[in-house]
Amino acid sequence: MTAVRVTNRCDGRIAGSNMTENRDDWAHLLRAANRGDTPAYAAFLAALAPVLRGIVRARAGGIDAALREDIVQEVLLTVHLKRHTWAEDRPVRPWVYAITRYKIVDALRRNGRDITLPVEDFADIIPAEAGTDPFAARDTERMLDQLDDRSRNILRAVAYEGTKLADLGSRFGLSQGAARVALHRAMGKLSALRRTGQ
Amino acid sequence: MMKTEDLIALLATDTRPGRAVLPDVLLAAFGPILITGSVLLMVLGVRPDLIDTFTSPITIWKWLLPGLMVAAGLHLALALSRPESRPQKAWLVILMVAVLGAGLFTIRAVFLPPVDWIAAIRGQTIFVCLASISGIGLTGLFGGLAILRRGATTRPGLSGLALGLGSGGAAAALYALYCNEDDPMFFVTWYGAAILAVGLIGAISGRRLLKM
Repeated sequence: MTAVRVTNRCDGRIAGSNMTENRDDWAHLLRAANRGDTPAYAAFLAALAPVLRGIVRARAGGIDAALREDIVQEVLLTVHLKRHTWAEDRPVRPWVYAITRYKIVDALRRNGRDITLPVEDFADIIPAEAGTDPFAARDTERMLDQLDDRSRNILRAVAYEGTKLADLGSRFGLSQGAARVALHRAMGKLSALRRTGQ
Repeated sequence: MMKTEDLIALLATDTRPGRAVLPDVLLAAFGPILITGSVLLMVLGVRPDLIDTFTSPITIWKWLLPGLMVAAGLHLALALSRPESRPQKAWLVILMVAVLGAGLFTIRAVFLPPVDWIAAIRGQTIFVCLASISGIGLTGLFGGLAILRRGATTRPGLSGLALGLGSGGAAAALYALYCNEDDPMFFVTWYGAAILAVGLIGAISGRRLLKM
């Protein structure tokens, strides 16, 4: 897949001065994505990720970096599966923020019992992402293990081996249309697993 | 460990667009209601004086109130399926329907001697009324919920409540074609109770089924 990667990892800058510019960009990219422009869609998600990371850090700063990255991935997955609920004539940001807020609250509630630290007090002494790869989340791999074989293999093939959609069918003995559907379903299952927090 | 970059590449590969809530949700909600409602009407029969009741300023509310509830409930459920929406007007309409119903009930009570109140509320057909409206309404509720899952509500309980109130309203409007109990103290009470019951089941189910 030849995705145009917009790898702007400066969380602060994106949320700050480039905001107006990005607002139009996002709608533009997402509209193009809705018309089948895969590179535009990859660019949209890549632009989204650091912003989400910044929001999650601001709202849920007390929990550890890997868990925060889980939330970021969860939002990305939900944005993906629910992208048809964005109306093209509306701004993208309020839509994204609403999903993000919901997912942060949900994650904090779900992990509430595990996180009993009074995070406000300890915020200063928790090392800032030292030693963890901020782009990796631990949940997804565990979830993949729980999927049925085909869904797991399809997701692995695409995510880790960079298998293109066109090759996915022949590899799994499916027509291209069936491969698309299988991939889509596998993502739905992954999302359902994350939702139940198993 | 799956890197977020890998996930993004994965998501971008999935080119299958999501399916919209509209118009399928209307078919999924109203379809079962129309089918079960028609079957019920075939069994019970339509009231013979139906045409006259449409011109009565009291009985017409047997359709106006449920009708408003259908419009407001469905509008609300649809609006909530977009995560960023804040649909306050639809809540106002639902509140207005409740106030109108209560007003109609009260006006009738004022004109009726208190000794007759119990008989007026009780009527003759409480059980058929409750069972029919809630039964028909539930088919629409669950049909609609199946499609509403495609949406992205951040208030799953409220979404289910709205869809349930709308489905219950549609069921009540159909049931009213049979029901000849025209005392507002009867129909406001029991139509209202049945619609509310479908709404509450919708709220409980929505919390489970509509969670993103």
